[in-house]
Amino acid sequence: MIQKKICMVGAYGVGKTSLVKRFVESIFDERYHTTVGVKIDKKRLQMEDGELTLVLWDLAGDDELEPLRLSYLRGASGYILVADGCRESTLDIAGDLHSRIAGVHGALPFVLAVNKMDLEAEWRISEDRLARVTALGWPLIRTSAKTGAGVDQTFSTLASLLLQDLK
Amino acid sequence: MTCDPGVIGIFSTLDIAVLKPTAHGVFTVAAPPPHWFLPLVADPIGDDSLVSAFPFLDSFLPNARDFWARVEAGSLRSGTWVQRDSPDSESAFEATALRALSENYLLIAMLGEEFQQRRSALQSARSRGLEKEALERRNREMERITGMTSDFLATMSHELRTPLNAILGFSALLTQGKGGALPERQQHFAGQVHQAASHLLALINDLLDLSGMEAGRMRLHPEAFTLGDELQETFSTLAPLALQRKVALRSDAGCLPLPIYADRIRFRQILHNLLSNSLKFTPEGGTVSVSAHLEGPWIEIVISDTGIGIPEAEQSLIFEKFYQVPRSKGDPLEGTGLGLPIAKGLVEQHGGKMSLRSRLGAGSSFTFTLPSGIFNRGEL
Repeated sequence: MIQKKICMVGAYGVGKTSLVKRFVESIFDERYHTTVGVKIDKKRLQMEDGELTLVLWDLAGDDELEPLRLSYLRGASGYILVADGCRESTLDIAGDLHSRIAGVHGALPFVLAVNKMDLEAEWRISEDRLARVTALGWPLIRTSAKTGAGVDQTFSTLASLLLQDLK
Repeated sequence: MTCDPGVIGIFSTLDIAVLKPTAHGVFTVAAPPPHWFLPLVADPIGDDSLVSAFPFLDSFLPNARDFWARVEAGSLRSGTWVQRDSPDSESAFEATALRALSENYLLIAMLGEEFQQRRSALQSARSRGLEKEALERRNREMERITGMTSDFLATMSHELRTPLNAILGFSALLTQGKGGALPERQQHFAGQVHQAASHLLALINDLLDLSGMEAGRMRLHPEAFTLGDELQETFSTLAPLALQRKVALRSDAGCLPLPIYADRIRFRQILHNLLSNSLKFTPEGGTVSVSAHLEGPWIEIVISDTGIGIPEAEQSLIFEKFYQVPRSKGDPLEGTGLGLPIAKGLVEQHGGKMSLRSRLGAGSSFTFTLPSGIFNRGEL
């Protein structure tokens, strides 16, 4: 059985923990629970080529109170960058984290999840901006931890990228 | 598993697992471990069993080995991790690579109260941050919507006023027979057109005033005058309505010479809106009266009536836009629900305040303040 470590990274309050909870337990909690340090979970996926276990490292949101420790990504096979569609600054933070991670750990497979699709009417990240991100070749998936939209797709897209790397 | 007697005394009282790496890549338990540790870790304790029990150590053990190789004495903390220990509960841990007395130790601690306090503090700080961001977003959105609404109203009002002025002008000419004599019935119709257009123009002007105030575009041109100057003018404008309603309009003679420093046209509008409102809600035989006195740098003006009064539940709504006190069926007097909010807004634009006292069946008093100009002319 193949086991892969993947990390959830992004600004605080974007919904990293909620995405993991939705993916692993199929539940959503409206209340905000901040993550301290790292929260680790596991999920088995049945892929075409066999079973894959994802060890999910949900890293605390990056801010001045608790800056992201890049060493946590050591041994990671890939990561999910998470931004909050309602907060434009979180896409800037995701871009910054991507550069920092690539600078330390090299180019790893990743997916950008723009979360809170259930609040799409309140989104502040413009379509133009998202189109520019897509044009960079970033795999971008709109997600909602609340409704579950795009969540499985995000993790399975990354899992496929990881397996492609193995071949 | 064997324990190192040299460190038992140090660690035995702490809720920490103390492991010592051996040369063969396995760990020995260097002090009696806490109750939670041994059920988690398979014996012999190697990297695989540690990582299986604590997946976080996968990234920390290489750092720890590097640290033990480089440093004579000191410690390296892993940072906190949280992992699930049952479907319904999770625990927080922290590992420390320790180098002391030429020996290497790996400490694994389950975090308790201190972790909860730290999480609580972070939770509060981040929740406040998220609330602040959400509030700022809402404010920006409100400003955008208010701006759009005001622009829309201003544009529409302008577009409506132009043709309306033509209707007003030509209907006035027809009523006056300037375009040739009209039969009496047609003259009456032209008069109705003129009256309806006048009402529409007043409504549009009110909307313009409101949008101007909300968009912060209203400019005041304050000047010094007396209450009497404007009161007499407004009384004569409202005399036909007072006559029609059979309501007496009175003023306290002593207040007429009192000074006001305000925008004269806007003051007239405030008076007109309040007085006409009182006239509309005062039954036949009643009185609407104006009194005033100086209160520090302000003039306080009170407009009282002997009208129907406003139910207590309605009093907080009376200054809301488009709100109208329910009227009796068949009451012919029309209103837009904008007169009072505009009057209050204009008073506030001058830095003053407006309040209402009313009792059902016993009349209402609107009190408002404006600069008297005696002390604070420079502030407007």
